Amino acid sequence: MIKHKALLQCRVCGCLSHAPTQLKRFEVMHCPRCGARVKLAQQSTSVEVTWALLIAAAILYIPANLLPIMSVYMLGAGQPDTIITGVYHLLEAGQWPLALIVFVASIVVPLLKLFTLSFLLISIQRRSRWRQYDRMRLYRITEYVGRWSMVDVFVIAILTGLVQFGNLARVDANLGSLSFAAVVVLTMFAARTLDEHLIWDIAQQEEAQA
Amino acid sequence: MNENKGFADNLPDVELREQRWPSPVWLIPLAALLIGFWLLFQAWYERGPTITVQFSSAEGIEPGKTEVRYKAVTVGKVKKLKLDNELKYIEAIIELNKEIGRHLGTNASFWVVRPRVNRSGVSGLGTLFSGSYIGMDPGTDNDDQSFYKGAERPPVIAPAEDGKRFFLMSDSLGSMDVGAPVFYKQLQVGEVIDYELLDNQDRVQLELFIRAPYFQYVHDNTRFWNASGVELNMNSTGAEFRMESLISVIIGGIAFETPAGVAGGEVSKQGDTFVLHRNYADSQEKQYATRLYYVMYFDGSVRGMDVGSDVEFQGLPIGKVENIEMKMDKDSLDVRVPVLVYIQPQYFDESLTKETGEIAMRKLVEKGMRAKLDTVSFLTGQKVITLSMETDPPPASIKATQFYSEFPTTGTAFEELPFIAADIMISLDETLAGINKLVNSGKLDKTVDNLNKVLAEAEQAVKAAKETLKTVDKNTLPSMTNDVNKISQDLSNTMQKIQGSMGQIDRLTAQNSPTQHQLQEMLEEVTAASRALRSLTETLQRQPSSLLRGK
Repeated sequence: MIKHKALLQCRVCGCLSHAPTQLKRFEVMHCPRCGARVKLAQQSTSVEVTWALLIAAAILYIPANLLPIMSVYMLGAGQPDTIITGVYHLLEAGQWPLALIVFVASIVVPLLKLFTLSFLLISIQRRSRWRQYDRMRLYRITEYVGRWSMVDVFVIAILTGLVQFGNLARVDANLGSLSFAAVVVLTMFAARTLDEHLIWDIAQQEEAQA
Repeated sequence: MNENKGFADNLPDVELREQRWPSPVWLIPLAALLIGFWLLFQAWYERGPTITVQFSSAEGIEPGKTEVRYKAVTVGKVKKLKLDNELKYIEAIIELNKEIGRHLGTNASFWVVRPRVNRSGVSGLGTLFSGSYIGMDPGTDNDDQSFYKGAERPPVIAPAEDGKRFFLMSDSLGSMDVGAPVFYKQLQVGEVIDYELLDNQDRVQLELFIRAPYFQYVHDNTRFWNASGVELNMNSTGAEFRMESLISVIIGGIAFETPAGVAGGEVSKQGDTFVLHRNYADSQEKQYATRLYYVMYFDGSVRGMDVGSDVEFQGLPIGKVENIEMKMDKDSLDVRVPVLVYIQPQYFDESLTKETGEIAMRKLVEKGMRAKLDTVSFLTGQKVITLSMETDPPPASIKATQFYSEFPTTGTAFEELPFIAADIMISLDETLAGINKLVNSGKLDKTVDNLNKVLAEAEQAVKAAKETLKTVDKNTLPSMTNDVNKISQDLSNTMQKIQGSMGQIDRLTAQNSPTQHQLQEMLEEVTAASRALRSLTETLQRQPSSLLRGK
């Protein structure tokens, strides 16, 4: 993998060391002085970590949509709602703009994030050079939009805290909201850990090799 | 960097370590996987059975909203409503909780609890808002099934409770409902658990549940009465006020008691039937099966007598007026008012039967028993029929007629007494008014003055006459003069006395004299009071509820 004897700098203590010409399997490099992990540029774990978080988010996306996230009881009547039934009830009540917002923020955005991050990761791993600038923008948009999905969790948290009037009106949070929050947080982390530099890295490397 | 190039060879080699495990970041998806599986498994595991319950109407049931409750705990929810194939029933698809699903039996029952003021107490404002729900009883056996028939009404009582069930027969349901309390000595000991209209008897049968240990107070001769509302009885013995409890006033109830005079008897068996009396007074009357019907004709007015008025013997009720009507003979235009009464001869002797009772009555009439009208209260004009032994009455007997035997009656001065009393009152009032007018006009004063003057003049005239007589008759008529003298003396005395009394009357009846004023005021108040009392009794008769709610 490593063909020439290169110099490595520890990011922690700044110690320079020689990298071995050949790395065996399961071997990782550590700083000889402080013991911190030292990596070559190509060895970035960004992709791996992002994949892990992304997969975790994808897994939790299932219970987040299947389980009820919130129960609203008005005058004693009410039931737990999943995201989809909540949207449906809003539509039934004629509140289609609200329904649209909830639908986009709670279902479309997390799903899009999962897909765009997966797409970016795959394209990085395939060392694609296809429309790098656009992919860069896509990444930025994803990262920026991601946190807004948290609005749902925020609303549930506030309602649960504020609306507790016994039989008159009551809002309870259900397990679904927990997994939904986990999905949002995990996708946010995934977007954060993805190193956008990698999109350009391939081109650089190839240019360097050329 | 460039200057340091020479040191490059002195640099240490990087330390190499083995790392066989993948990055610990993969623990996150692993945990997510576990959590996700756990959540879904739990959701699936918690899911109870889905059953179908058939109801005759979907009123108050909303799919997705209506809950199923057992002992006020929500144990399920209606998922869907659909009509059955013949459009006769609706079928509610209900998803139940796991716990209740485990205990669901084939004899489980479901019923719709619609919003209403709950009989068994005020169960929180929440139920007013929460709307209908489906009540359920999971039943006893553990074989579940997926199709049930919903009941129209809640089932009777939780079978776990210890107690006995009794039946009550009533003419009408009144304000009873399932859940109406049953009181014993003003203690709630049970409730009405069911009622139905008996097809062939045109009566309502109420089913009671009386909890242990109170059912042992139900004996064969226990009396049950409707304790709803407030009972106010006004009769000759005064006013009686009776109220079982505030709850029974509002929602109705039944009370029972074993009369003190009656022997205890056996503790009643489950399922015994009793009569539900209309009120306490009704229940306390002795009930005898034998009734002898007689018709009575009274000479005077029967005002003040109603259907239900008592027939008394020496002040004790032995029967009641059953009917009062008017009959006219078309030929002679004789209008008569036959009063139909019944007499329960067993009041005289419990061993009497219908036949022996009739014979006994006949003998009593031959001995002088007659019926007459008696006034119970001058105030209300209420009347009863009194049977009494007349001394030396004209001979009479019970005459058998086409329908009922005719019982001989006798008139009584008392009959007219209330009217006489009323007449006296009226004339007294008039007289007083007249006096008042006279006194007010000042004529009386003048008359008395004049009378005084006349009397004074008369006295003077008598004196003058005396003088004349003295002079004239000094010699001629000495004996006669003495007599005249004596007479004139007497006359004078009398005159003086009259004058004295007149003066007193004058003072008494003088305008603004306290006595006269007080008398007038008192009479006015008596009149007003009796009028008010009469209007009160009338109002109470018409609207007994006004006692509670006001007019």
